Amino acid sequence: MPILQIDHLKKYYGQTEPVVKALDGISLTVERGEFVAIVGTSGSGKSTLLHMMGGLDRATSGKVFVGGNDIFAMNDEALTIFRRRSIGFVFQHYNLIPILNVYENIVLPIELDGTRVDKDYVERIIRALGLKDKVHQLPSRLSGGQQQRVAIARALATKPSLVLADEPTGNLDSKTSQEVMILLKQVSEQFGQTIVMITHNEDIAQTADRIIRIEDGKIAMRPETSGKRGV
Amino acid sequence: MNRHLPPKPPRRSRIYSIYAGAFVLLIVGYIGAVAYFAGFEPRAGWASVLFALLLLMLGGALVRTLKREAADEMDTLHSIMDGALSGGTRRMEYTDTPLSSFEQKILRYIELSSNQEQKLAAEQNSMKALISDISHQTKTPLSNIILYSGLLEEVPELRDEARQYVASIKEQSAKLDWLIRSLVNLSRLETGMIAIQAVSAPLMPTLTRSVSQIYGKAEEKGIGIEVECLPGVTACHDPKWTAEALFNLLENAVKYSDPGGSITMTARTGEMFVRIDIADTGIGIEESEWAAVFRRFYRSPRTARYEGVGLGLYVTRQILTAQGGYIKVSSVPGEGSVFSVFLPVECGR
Amino acid sequence: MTGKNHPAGGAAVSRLAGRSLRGNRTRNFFVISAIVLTTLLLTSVFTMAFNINRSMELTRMKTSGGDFHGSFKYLTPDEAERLARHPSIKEFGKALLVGDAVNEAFRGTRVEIDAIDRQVADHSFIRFEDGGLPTGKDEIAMNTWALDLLGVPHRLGSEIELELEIDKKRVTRKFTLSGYYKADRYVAMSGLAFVSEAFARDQLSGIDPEMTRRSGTYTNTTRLDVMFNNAFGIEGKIHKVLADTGIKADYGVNWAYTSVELLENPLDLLPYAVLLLIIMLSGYLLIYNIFHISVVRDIKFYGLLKTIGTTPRQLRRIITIQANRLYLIALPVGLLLGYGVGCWITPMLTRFTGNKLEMAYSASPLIFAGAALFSYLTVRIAASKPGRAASRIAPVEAVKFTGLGGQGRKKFKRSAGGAKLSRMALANLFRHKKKLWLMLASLSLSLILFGTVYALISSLNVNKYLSTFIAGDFVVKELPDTSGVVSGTALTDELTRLLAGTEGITGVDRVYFSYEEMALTPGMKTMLAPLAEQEAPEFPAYSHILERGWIGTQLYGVDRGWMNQIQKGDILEGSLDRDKFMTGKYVLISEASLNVEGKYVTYYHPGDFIRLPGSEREYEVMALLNEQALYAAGTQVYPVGGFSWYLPADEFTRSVKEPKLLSLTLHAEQAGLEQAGNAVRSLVDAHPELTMKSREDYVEEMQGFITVFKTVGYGLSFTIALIGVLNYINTVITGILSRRHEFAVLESVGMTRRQLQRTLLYEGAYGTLLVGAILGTAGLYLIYKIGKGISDNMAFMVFRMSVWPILSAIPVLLVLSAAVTLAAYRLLTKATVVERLREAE
Repeated sequence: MPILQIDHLKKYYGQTEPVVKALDGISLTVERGEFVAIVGTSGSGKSTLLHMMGGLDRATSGKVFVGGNDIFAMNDEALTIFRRRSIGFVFQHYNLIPILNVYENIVLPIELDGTRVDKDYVERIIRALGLKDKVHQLPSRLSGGQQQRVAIARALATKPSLVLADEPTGNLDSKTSQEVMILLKQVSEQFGQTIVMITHNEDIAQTADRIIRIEDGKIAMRPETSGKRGV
Repeated sequence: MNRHLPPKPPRRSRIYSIYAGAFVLLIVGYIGAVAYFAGFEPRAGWASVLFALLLLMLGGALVRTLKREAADEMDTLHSIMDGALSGGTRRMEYTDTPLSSFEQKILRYIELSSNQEQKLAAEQNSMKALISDISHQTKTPLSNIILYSGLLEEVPELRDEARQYVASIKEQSAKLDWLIRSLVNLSRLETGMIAIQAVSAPLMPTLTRSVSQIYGKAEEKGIGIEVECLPGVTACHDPKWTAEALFNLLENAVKYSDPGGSITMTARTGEMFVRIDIADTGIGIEESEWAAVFRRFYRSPRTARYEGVGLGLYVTRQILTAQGGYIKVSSVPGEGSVFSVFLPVECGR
Repeated sequence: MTGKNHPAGGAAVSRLAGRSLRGNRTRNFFVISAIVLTTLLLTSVFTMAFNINRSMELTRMKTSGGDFHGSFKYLTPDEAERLARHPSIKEFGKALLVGDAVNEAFRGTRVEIDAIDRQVADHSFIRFEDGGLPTGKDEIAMNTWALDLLGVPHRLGSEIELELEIDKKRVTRKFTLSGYYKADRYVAMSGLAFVSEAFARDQLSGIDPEMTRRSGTYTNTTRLDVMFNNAFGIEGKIHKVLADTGIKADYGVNWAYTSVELLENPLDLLPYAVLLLIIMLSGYLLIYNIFHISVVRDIKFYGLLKTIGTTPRQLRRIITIQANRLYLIALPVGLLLGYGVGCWITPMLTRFTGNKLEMAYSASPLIFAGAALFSYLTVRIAASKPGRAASRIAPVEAVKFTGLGGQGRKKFKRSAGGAKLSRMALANLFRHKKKLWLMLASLSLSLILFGTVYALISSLNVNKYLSTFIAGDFVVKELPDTSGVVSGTALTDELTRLLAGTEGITGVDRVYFSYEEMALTPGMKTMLAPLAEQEAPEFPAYSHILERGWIGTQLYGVDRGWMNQIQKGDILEGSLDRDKFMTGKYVLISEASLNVEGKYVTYYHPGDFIRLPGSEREYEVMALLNEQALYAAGTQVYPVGGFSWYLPADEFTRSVKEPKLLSLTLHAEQAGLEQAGNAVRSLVDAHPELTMKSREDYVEEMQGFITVFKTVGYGLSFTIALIGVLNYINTVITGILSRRHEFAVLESVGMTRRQLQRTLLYEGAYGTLLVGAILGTAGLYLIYKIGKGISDNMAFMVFRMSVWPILSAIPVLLVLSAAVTLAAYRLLTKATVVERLREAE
C-alpha cells in the first residue's frame, strides 16, 4: 500500500469567472521510504498541493489518502489529531513556537498527544541533527539553518508516516541549504521516513530519489527519474 | 480504503457526572437533615459545610489518584512499545501483571517479524559471502596466469606473433586482476569485514595522501593538481578509507581529462559538514546521468573508449556513507565536472 | 483513544498557556484591570446590599428595643426563675418594672423606670458613655436626652430629682447619676431610666406582682428577655418553653427577626439584580474585547499550533487557562477594593433613602463568595467566545505569508469608477453589512444612553425639589408625637404674631387645617359604586366608604403667598384669579383621591357650589387642582375617596369651627437672613413641640442627595459610553488586523502604504459620520422623549435638554477612529517587518 495516494485532486478559487484553478486534477502515489521532490515555478500550485497532502486545506474535489486514511473525510478534530501523529511538517519559515525552547518545540506534538516521550529516540534525532548543545535555547537565538534543523527534528519526533517539506531551504543561503538537504536525506534514511518536498530550486531537487514536475496545477508530462535510492 | 474503526468506548464522562451528582445530593441531603434536626444552629451549619468540603476534596483527590494511576499504566504501555520497537529492549520485569504479559506478547511479535527480516538479510549476506569466496578463490589461479604470462614473455625464442598474443593475455589478466581486486574490496566493505573507524582528525593529511597517490599518473598526462585547504580543518573520517575514496575521484578526474587540463581540490568547513570539491576539466557528465554514475557497474556510453569497470564511484559512495558523509556531482558536458564530498564536522552523530 | 473526559496533553497545553501569558504583558495588564474593575463593582454592590440589610436589621432591633429573640412579660420572680432554667434558653436577662418618671419636663414623653441586669443592658444597645448601671440605692442611670430635658449636666454624680409614680403612688426622690448613655429619642418606644436592684427591693417590697398584673400597672413584674440557639421559629420555641414549664405568661417575639429581609420582597432585589447584570455585561464586553484582539493578533500562532496538531479543544483550553490565571491574580485585589468602595458608598446611599438608618457593616463571607462567583462567570463567558474563535482558526493561516502571495481570496471589491480612495473606503465599509450595523447599533445605543443619563442629571432642579417642602425661607411646624399625631394646638396666633414681628421677617404665610367628614352626595355615590364593585375583597376601601356614608375632606386655609406656589400645570380645570379668590367667596378644590387609572376624577367642577361641611356657608368652585398642588402646604396624606379644599386663610378662620394652624412659612430679607433665622430659631426652641427648618436645611439635604445622584449618574453614563467606545475600538482593530492578507494583495497590486492608510482613515471617518447621523436624528429625539418622560414624573427634575455631550462625542470619535486606525496599521506593518527580519536571519 503506498504511503500517499492522491486521486484527481482539484482546488478552485472563486465562484465566478475568472475562476482560479490552483490544482486541476492531480493524481500521484508515493511509496514508503521514498524521497520525492515536487518541482514547479511559483504559482504552479505546488504549495497548494502540499497543503492538501497535509490536510491544512480542503480540496474542491478529489481525494487524498495518507497511510490508507481519507484525509478529507475527517472532521477538524480528528484531522488535527491525525496530523499530529502521522504527518511531520517542515516549512520554509521554520515556524517554530517562539515561546518554547528547542527541546520543547521538538517534543510538542508528542506532548500534545499526552503520550510519554521516547527519550532515547528523541535524543538520537537531536544528535543526528547536531542540536545537542542547543537543546535549551529559544528559537530566536538560533540561525536560520539551526532553526530549520529543529523543525526537521520536530517533524521526525512522532515517527510520522509522511514528512512534508515546503521549500525547506527557501530562506537559507546556498551553503546552509546544502547542509540541511543532506541532513534531511540522511535522517530520512536513518529513521526510515518518507519525504515529500516541494521546491522551485532544481539543484535542491536533485537530492531526491524522484522528481515530479508541476505546471499550472497539473503534473508535467516530462518523465524524470534521477534513479532509485540505494542499491 | 478506510480502515474499519472500532466502536467508540461508552461515554464515561456522563457516568462520572452521575456519580458526582449523586454524591453531592447525598451530602447536601444529609447536611440538610442534620441542620433541620439541630435547629439550624449556626455552628452546626459551619461544621457540616466544612465536613462536606473536606469530603469533596478527599473524593477529588482519590479520583485524581485513580486517574493518574490509569495514565501511568498507559505510559508504561507506551514505553513497552517503544522499547520493543527500538530493538527489543525489555522495559519491565517479569511480574504477574497484565502489563508484563502484554510486554511478553509484544516482544514475541517483534521477534517473529524481525526474524523475517533477519532471514532476508542472512540471504543477502550469504550472497555477498559467495562473491567474496569466489573472488578469493580466483585470486590464486589469476596470479598464476599473470606469473606465467610474464614468464612466457621472457622466453627469448618467441615469435612476434606469439609475443603479441602474450602481450594481449598479460593485458587482459591485468584487467581481470584489477576487477577481481575491486570486487574483493567491495565485498569486504559490504559485508562489514573491514571496519571503517571514523575519528575526528585533521583533513589536510588525508587530502595530501590521496593526491600523492595519483600525482605520478597526473604528471604523466600533464594535468595539474591543486589543493586548497586551511590547515586547521578537521572532519570526522577514517583517514585511510577516505583517502582511498578521494583517490578514486582523483583517478577518474585524471582519466577523463585531456592532457593540459587541471584538477582543483578545495576543502571548506560548514556548520555540520566539511565540503571537499574536486573540480576537473574533463569530458563532463550529462545531467540525466548524474544520479546513475554512482550505481554499481554503471558506465556511461560516453566513456566507452575509456578503461574502467564502473565500480569506482560506487565504492567511493559506500565509503562516504559509512562515515555519515555524502557525495554529489555537478557537471557541464565538455567543460568539466565537480564532485562534492561532504564529511561530518563532528563525530558522534 | 485516551479517556474521553480528561484532556490529553494537559501538561503541554498548560505550558503553552503559561509561556503565552508571559509573552503578553500589556494584554495581561489590561485584562487584570478589567477583572479587577468588574470584581470591584460586583463586590461593592454585594457589600452595599449586605450592609444595608444589616443596617436595617440593626435599626429594627433598636426600634424594637433590643436584639433579644423574645421575652416573657409580667412574670413573678418565681416564674421567671423557672422559665430561665429551660434548656433551650441560651441566655437571658431580667428587667424589673419599677414605675414611671412623671416630672413636668417629661410631659408627653414617657420615661419608664426599670431595674435591669447586665444582660438586658447589653442586648438593648445601651452603651454607657460614662459610668454604668446603678448599684447603690440612690443611683440611677439615664439617657442623654432625658437628662437634657431635665437640664441636668452629663456628669457622673450629678444630682437628679425625679417624681416617680410607682403603682399609682407618687413619690419624689433624689438620685445621683451613675451613668448615662445616648439613646435615640424617637426610635425606642419610650425613654428608659435604670435604678439599682437595691432601690427596687426597697420600694417594691410590699407590691405583689400577681396583683399588679391584674390591676394593670404591672409594677414589680419581671420581664425575662431570652436568647435561643438561633433566630428561627422564635414563637414556636417560646410556646415550647411555656408548655414545658406549664407557665402561662404574656410573651413578645422580637419582630426584627421575623423576616428574612432580603428575600421577603423579590421586587426589592430587582434593582440589585439589574445593577449586577449591567456590571457583568460591561465587564464581559471589556474582557471579551481584549481577548478577541489578542486572538486576532496571534492568529498565526494559533494556526501554527493547529498545524502541529493542537486540537480545537486544546486551543480553547489555552485561552481558558490564561483567563483563569489572570482571574486568580485579579480576584483578591478586586474583592478588597470593592469591599472598601462598598463600605464607603453605603452611608451615602442610606442618606438618600431617607430613612434614618444606623450604619452597620457586614463582613459576611457570602459577599466575597458571591462577588467572586459572578466575576468568575463573567470572565469565563467573556473568554469563551475568543477561545472558540481561536479553536476554529484554520491551520493554513500559519503558512500564509503576510507579504505577497495567497491566491486571490477574492473579497475586496474593485471599484469600477477608478480607484478613488474615498469611494473605495465607502464600499469597503458596506461590505460587511451585518458587522457594520451591529457596531453602529451598539455605539449609538450606548451614546444615546449616555446622553440621556447626562440630560437627566442636568435636569436636577433644586428649586423644584425644595418647592415640595418649603415655599419660603423658613417653615415652622409642629412635631408629631410618638404616635405620629399632630395635635394642631402648638402653633398659636400669638406665636404667629411674634414671628411675623421678628426683625428681618418680611411676611408670614399661614396654613390652617381641619379635617371634616363630608356626607356622600348622590353624585359621589354614583362615582364610588363601580369602584366598590371592582375592588378586591381584602381591601374593601370603597365599600367601606359607601357603607359609612362619608368621605374625609381636608380643609386648608392658605395665605396669599401660597397662591404663587400653584403651577400652571397644577390647574386641571378652570382658572386661577388671585384677587377674586382672596375675596373669600371662592374655593379651590383638588381632584378626588380615587384610584382611577389614567385621568383624574372629581366630584365637582368649576362653577359648582359646595357647602362647607359643618357649616352653612357655600363657596363657588373656582378651579380644580391636581393632587400634587401645594404639596408643601399639606399634610401629604390623602384619605381614600376624599379631596382637599383650599380657602383663603382669613375666610378659613371665620368659617371653620376649630381651625388648627398647620405651619407657618416665613419669608425673610436676603440681607439679614442669618440673623432672622437665628431669631426665629430661638423663638421656636422655646417650644419643644415645634420645629423649624430653613431653606438652607433642605438645600443641604438635597445637596447630599444630589452629590450621590451625580456621582452615580455620571459614573454610570461614562461607563456606558466607555463600553460603547471600547466595542467600537475593538471592531476597528480587528477589522484591520483580520484583513492583512487583503492589504498584502492590495500592496502587490500597486497601492502604496500611504494610500492604504488614507483609505482606512476614510473608512473610520465614514463610520463615525454614520453614527453621527444616527445620533443627530434618532438620538436626539430619543433623548428628548425619554428624558422628558422621566423628569416629568420626578418631583425634583425640570427637563433640560443638553445636546452638547452627545454631539461632542462625534469629534471625539473621529479623533479616536483616526488614532486607533493608525495604531492598528502600525501594529500590522511592524509585525510584518519584524517577522521578515527574524526569518531572514
